[in-house]
Amino acid sequence: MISGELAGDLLMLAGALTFLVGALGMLRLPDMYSRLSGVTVSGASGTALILIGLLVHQPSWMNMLKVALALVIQLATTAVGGSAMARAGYLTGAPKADSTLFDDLVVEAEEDTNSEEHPGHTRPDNDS
Amino acid sequence: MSIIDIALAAIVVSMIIATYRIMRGPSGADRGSGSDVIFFGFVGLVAILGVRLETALLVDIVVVCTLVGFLAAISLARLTAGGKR
Amino acid sequence: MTVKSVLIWILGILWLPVYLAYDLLVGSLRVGWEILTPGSQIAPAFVEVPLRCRTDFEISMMANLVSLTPGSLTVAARHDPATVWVHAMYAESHSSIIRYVHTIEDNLLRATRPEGIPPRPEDLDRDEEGQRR
Repeated sequence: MISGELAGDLLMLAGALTFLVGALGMLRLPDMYSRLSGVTVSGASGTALILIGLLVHQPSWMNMLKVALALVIQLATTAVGGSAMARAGYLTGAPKADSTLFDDLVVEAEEDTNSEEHPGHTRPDNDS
Repeated sequence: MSIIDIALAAIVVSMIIATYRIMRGPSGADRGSGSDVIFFGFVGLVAILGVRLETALLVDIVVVCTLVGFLAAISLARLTAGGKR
Repeated sequence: MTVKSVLIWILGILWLPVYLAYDLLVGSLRVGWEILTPGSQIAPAFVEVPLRCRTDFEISMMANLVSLTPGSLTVAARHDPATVWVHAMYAESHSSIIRYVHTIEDNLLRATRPEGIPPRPEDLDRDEEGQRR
């Protein structure tokens, strides 16, 4: 059982270090959208490794159920929260990095100026 | 000083970095993503503390934390977007 | 719907989490390497990607799977015709990002469609041997 506990500890350490890497990305990456990718690293990979380490450390069927539930919710939070935050940032005009190559959304928005709506939000029933 | 303590320290450092991003953040979305990181760090912190304190109860709290974090992330993004849907 | 397509469907449901974990790992290593080493190789871009998804469930799953991979992020999604706008950190060109998103879409559609998946739009102008034109 000692080796199982050691494996759990090491998994948790790996998860915490992954979390730290993602948080360092918040200092290091140039613009808001790249920083959200760093948030994905810490929120998805880091937390998943920590939760799996928790399961390896205290293995039981009940814990497996709870950890699986927490893992699914955590991954959904990271994905949905990340894209919701990216959309909010784009709508409020967060600055883009100077190295941005091209932006297909701007082209769409200019075509759509008369409808005053963001292209991501037009529903088909509004158009007809 | 064990492996678990180093993991706790790493998460605390990343939460401090996220706090700096919230203070500094040029746009509102930066501040929102910083507080997302703080919430994810809280989930990890509770999970690691469950191992550190040798209790099985904290696993339930992790599940509740992830549920609350889901709602917090969505509503924070809605708040950042303002009235623009 | 034949027996073979249903078999591929069940295998696709089982394969999706494995592919997701692999994609998460590769993306995390790439972004982590970018963060930890000095210098900047990132070339971000917003790319418009047309999808083959039809239902709301498929489009929202698609947007979430793209967001879940570190290095790519869904900024906006449209219902009809199904399109997502993806922010990618490593965009060499339009077509590389579109191919990457379509790989994820292949894996998703294999899990959601028992009747088999339609071919990729960029494969339609190839002949039987897979050569262009």
